[in-house]
Amino acid sequence: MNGDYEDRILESGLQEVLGGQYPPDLTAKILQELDRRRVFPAESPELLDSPPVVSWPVSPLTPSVSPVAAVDPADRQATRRDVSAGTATGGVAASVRSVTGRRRSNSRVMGWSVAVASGVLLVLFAAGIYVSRTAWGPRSPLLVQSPPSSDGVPVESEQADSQLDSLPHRDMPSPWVPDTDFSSPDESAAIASASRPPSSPIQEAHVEDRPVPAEVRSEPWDDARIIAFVDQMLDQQWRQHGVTPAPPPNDSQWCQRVYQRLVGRDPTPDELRQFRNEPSGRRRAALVDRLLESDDYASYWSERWADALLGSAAKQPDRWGIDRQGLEQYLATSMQENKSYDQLTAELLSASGSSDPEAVDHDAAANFLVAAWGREGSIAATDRVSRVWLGKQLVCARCHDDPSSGWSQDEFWQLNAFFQQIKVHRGPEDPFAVVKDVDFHGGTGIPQDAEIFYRGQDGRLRAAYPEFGSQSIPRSGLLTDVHRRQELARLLTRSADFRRAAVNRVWAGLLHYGFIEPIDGAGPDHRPSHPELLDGLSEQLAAHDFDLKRLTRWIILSRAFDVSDQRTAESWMDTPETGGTPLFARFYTEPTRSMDLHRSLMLAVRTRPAGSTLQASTLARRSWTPSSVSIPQIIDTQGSESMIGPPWLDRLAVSPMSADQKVEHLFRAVLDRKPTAREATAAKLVLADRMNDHLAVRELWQILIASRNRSGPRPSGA
Amino acid sequence: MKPAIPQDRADLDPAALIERYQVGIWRYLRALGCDPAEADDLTQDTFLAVLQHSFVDHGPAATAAYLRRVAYNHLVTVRRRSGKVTAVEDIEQFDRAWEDWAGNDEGEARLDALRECVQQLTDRARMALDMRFRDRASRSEIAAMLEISEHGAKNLMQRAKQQLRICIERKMA
Repeated sequence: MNGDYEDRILESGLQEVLGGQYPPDLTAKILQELDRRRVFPAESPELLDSPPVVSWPVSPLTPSVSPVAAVDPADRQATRRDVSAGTATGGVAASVRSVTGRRRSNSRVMGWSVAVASGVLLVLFAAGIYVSRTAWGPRSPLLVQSPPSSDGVPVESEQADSQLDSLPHRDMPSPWVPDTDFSSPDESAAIASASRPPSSPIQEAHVEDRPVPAEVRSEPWDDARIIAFVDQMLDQQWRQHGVTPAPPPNDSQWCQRVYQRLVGRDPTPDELRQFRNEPSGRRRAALVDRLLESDDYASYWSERWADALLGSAAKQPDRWGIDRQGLEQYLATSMQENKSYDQLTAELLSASGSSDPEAVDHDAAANFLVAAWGREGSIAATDRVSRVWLGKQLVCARCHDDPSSGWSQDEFWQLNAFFQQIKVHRGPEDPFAVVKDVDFHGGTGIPQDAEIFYRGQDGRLRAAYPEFGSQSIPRSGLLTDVHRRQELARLLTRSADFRRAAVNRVWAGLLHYGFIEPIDGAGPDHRPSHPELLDGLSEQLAAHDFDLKRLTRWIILSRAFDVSDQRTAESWMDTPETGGTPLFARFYTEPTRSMDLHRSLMLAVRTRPAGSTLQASTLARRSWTPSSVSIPQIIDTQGSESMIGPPWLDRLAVSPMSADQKVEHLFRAVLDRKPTAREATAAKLVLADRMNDHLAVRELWQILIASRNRSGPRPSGA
Repeated sequence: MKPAIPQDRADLDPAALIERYQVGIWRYLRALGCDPAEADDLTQDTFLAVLQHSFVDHGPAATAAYLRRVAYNHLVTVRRRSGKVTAVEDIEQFDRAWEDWAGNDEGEARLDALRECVQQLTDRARMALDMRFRDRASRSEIAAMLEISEHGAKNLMQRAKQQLRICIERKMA
C-alpha cells in the first residue's frame, strides 16, 4: 500500500516537473476572502438548517429554475469567493459564470445544454398538464389537492394555502386524499390503479391482539462499569488515531465546566469552596449528583430541550401559537420527576389539547406538535419527529429514496401516515393553537382502510399505510380502532435509532460535538465517530429505562470531561472545528449563550430571591431577556442597573485587606485564578484612581466580568 | 529553510502562514488526486478554516501536519457531496509517505532531483513520461507512438518511475 502512495506522490511530482502544473500563489486571494468573511461573518443557522438546494427535485409545474439554484453548496461558496475577488462584475449572468469557475470549465457547456433541454421538456410537460387538467377537471389524481376531513372541512387547508407562499416547497409532493365522491370514472380508475401494499391479516387485527416483537434490552451495568467502558472506547480511538489526550484540568476548572454544561452558569465562590472542601475521592460524583437533582438543572435543560423540540419555530413561538414557557415548564417538571425519556417522548408525540394555559383542554405537551405542524402540516411533523427522535433528516425522502438518510420514499410516507388523525387549528385572532384528534377516512373514504396517496418517483400514485421499522399497525383511521400517534410512540421508542439519537443528542449537549454531526444527520453519509461507544451507551440507556440523568452522569464522570481544553501538539489532530472527526481528546469550548450569561449575572447580583420557585425564576428570566437579545446587548443594556455587583463587594471595599489582596480576591471570585503581575498592577491602578472605595471595587468587578465573557475561554492554569 | 511562524497568536501573521505552507498543502492535495483547480480551491478553504478558528503554532512540522489534516477533511467533504469515493483509505500511511517525500521544504529538493533524474532516463522512457504527463496522452496513444503494445507501454513507464525513485534516493542520500 505504501508503494502505491509513493507512486502517486511521484506522479504528482512528474505532473509538476513535466506537465508544468506548478503551485500558484494564493496568498492575496485567501486574505481577500478572509477580510470579506470578517465583514460578513457567517451564514445564518437557518440556512444551515435548510435542506440543500440541490436536493429539491424540479417539478414539471415549475415554470423556470434558476441555474444558480441548482448549485452545490460548495460551489455557492466558490461563487461568493469569486465575486468578492472581483471576477464578477454584477448581474446574474456574471454570477453564473463565476459560479461555474475554473473547476467546472469542462462541464459548463454540458450544464447549459442540459438546462436548455430541461427547459424545453418542462414547457412541454406543463402544456401536457394544462391539457390534462382541462380534460379531466380540477380533481385530476395527478394534481395535489387539499384533503378533506370527516366533517367536510379541508384538512391542512391552512398549510395548503401557505405552501403556495413557500416557493422551494411548492415542488414537493404532498399526501393527496381525494374527495370520496368520484364523479369521474377516470379518477376512480386512477385510484384503483394506484400502487398499494397488499392487504395483510394485520389489517384486520386489533392493536392488543397483534403480537409486537419484544424489545431486546441488554443487562444493565453499574455506573462504574459503564464509565470504564466509555473511557476504554475513547482511549481506543485515541490510540488508533495516534492522538494523546490533553492533560486533565484541575479541580476548579473541572467544577466550573460541570456547572456550565449542567446548569448553564459558573459556580459561585461558595459553591466552589464547598466542592473543594469535600473529600477528593468522591467530590466529583457528589457534585454531579447534587446538580442533577437541582432546579437549576431542570430549568437549564428544559430550555435546551425546548430548543431541540421546537426547531426553527423556537425563534418565533408567538407566530405559531406556541406557549414556549408552558412547554419549558412541562419539560422541567418532567426532569424533576426524572421521567423516563421514552415516556416523555410518548407524551409529546401523542398529546392533544390547547397550547393556551388558560384553556380547559390545555396540554403543555401539545406545544411540540403545534410547533412541528408549522406551515406544512403532517409533512413538517414527520420531518421534525425524525430529526428529534431518530436523528435523521427525512425531508429528501419525501420525494425520492434518500441515500444520505438511508430511507426510502415509501418509508417516509408510511411514517407520515401516523400523523393523519390530527388537526391543528389556529384562529386568526387566537394567539394559541389547538391539537385535535380526528378520524381519518383515507384517500378513498373508507375509514377502516385509511390510506394516503402520494406521487412516487415514477410519477404514479402510490398508497401508504402507517408503518415504522417494518412494523405495521391496523389500517383503520378511526380513533375508536387505533390511535396512530400512540402506536408510533410505542414503535419509535423501541427502535435502535431512537436510543442512538438520544445518546448522541445528550453527548453533543454536554461536549459540544456529537458522535454524529450534524446531530440530526445520521445515515450512511454520516457515520458515527465512535460506533461501538454510541451503541454501548444506547444499549445501557435502554437497560436503565431511558434515565437521561444517569446517561448524563456517565458522560460527565468519564474521561471525556477530564481533558483540558488546551490544544497540545499531541492532541493537534483532533479538529472537529474544521470538519474532522471529533476524538474528544480535548474539551471543546463553546461560545457563551445569552441565557447562560444571564444566569451567571443574575446569580452574581442575587436578583433571584432565595427559595423562589422554578416557575418564578423562569418567568423572571424570560421577562428579562428576549429571545433575540445578544450577549453584547445584555452587557450594554444591563450594565447600568443590574451589574451593581454582589453584596460582598461593599464588604470587600471597606475591609482592611491590602490592595493586592483585594485584587486577588476579585480575580479569584470572577476568573478563578490569580492575576498576573501586569494585571495586578493595572487593577491596583484602577483601585487607586477612584475616590470612592465602593465604586472602585465595583468597577473592577464589572471589568473582570465583561472581559471574561468577551475574551472567550479563560487562561488555563493557576 | 523558511522561518517558522511566530508562536504567539497575537503575533500570528496570516500572510506569513499562507506563504509558508501553501505550496506544501497544494502539492499534498495534488498527490491525493485533486486536479489543479480543485487543489486551488481546497488550499483556500484550508487556510480560511484555520484562520477563522483559534490557531496556535506548535512548530513547522505540527502546523504542516495540522494543515494537511484540515485539507484532507475538506477534500473528503467535497468528495462526499459530489458522491465520489475518496481514493486514499489510510490517510495516516499516506501522510507518512508524504512526509518522507516532502521533507522540510515541501518537496523542493526532491523535485529538483527529479528534474535531473528525468534527464538520465533513456529517450524512449523519457518520451513515454513526457507524453503521459505533459501531453496527457493515454496509454494506447503512447503505445502507438512508440510502436509497442499497451502492456509494453505500461511496463516501460513503470520501470522508468522505478528508476526515478532510485535515482532520487541516491541524490538525496
